[in-house]
Amino acid sequence: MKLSECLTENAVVVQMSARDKREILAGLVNLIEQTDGLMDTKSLLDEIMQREELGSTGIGKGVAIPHVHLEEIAEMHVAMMTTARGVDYGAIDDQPCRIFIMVAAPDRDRENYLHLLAEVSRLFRHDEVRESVLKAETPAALLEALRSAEGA
Amino acid sequence: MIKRILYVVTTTQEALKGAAFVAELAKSLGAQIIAYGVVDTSAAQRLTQATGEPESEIVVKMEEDAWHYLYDVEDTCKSLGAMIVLQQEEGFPDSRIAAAAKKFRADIVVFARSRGAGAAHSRRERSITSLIERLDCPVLVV
Repeated sequence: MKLSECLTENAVVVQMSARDKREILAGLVNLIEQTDGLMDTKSLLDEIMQREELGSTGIGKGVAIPHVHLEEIAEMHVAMMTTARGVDYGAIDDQPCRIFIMVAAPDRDRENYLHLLAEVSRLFRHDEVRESVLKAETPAALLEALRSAEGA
Repeated sequence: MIKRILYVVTTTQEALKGAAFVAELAKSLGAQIIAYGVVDTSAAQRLTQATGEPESEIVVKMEEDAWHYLYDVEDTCKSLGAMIVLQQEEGFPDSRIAAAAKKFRADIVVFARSRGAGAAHSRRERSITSLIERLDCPVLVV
């Protein structure tokens, strides 16, 4: 399962201005709602925020991967955002984050969910992948950068 | 006071099984877990020599496996209400773990017991013994 295959252009925003973590997470949930028609976005946002309070999903090097699996979710939803400036996310390395990938999955799809999280985390540990994604000025360009990184 | 628990997550079933205990321990202490995985690049070289597969592909697989186990542990811990963050690094496990314990100011380092037999099992056992001597904080094996 590849990240580029889980995303459409409508689920991607680039070079966004965002003030704080909550705005980022709300923005990602909105992207999922607009793209996939997920109805109960308030619950999704609440669940994501609760899990963030137990520990930041900022994995370092400016990347955050907020994620949750819930019984109420019918299928996997993925959204991605980059910001023009770094946002304080409470990441493990204390660095501000500019790359955000949200994954929301059904409970019954836990293995694919873990697999996708692992793939995304591995991918974004590489400097050149982060740089190419941050340079993208359109969702199409970002997706192309991802496809190139995953195919390499 | 134990406020930071470094839980060394290996790609083993024992590490997954240990997660619930570490979560309960963290909750009872009001501590945060730092779930820490190391991709052993020397093991990748050995596997390349043994299998003939390109080292780059082996490293990709090892990195993804390590993250998979980290996220599995995180899922268990957060489901139980424990505070946890994840970190993965590459290198020689002994030195990386000792450095991580210092960097994250771990009050205790926790390992899952290694079960099984063979060279890999022996290496893990020796590694824990060697680490105990290098760490300034207590070590718990679960």
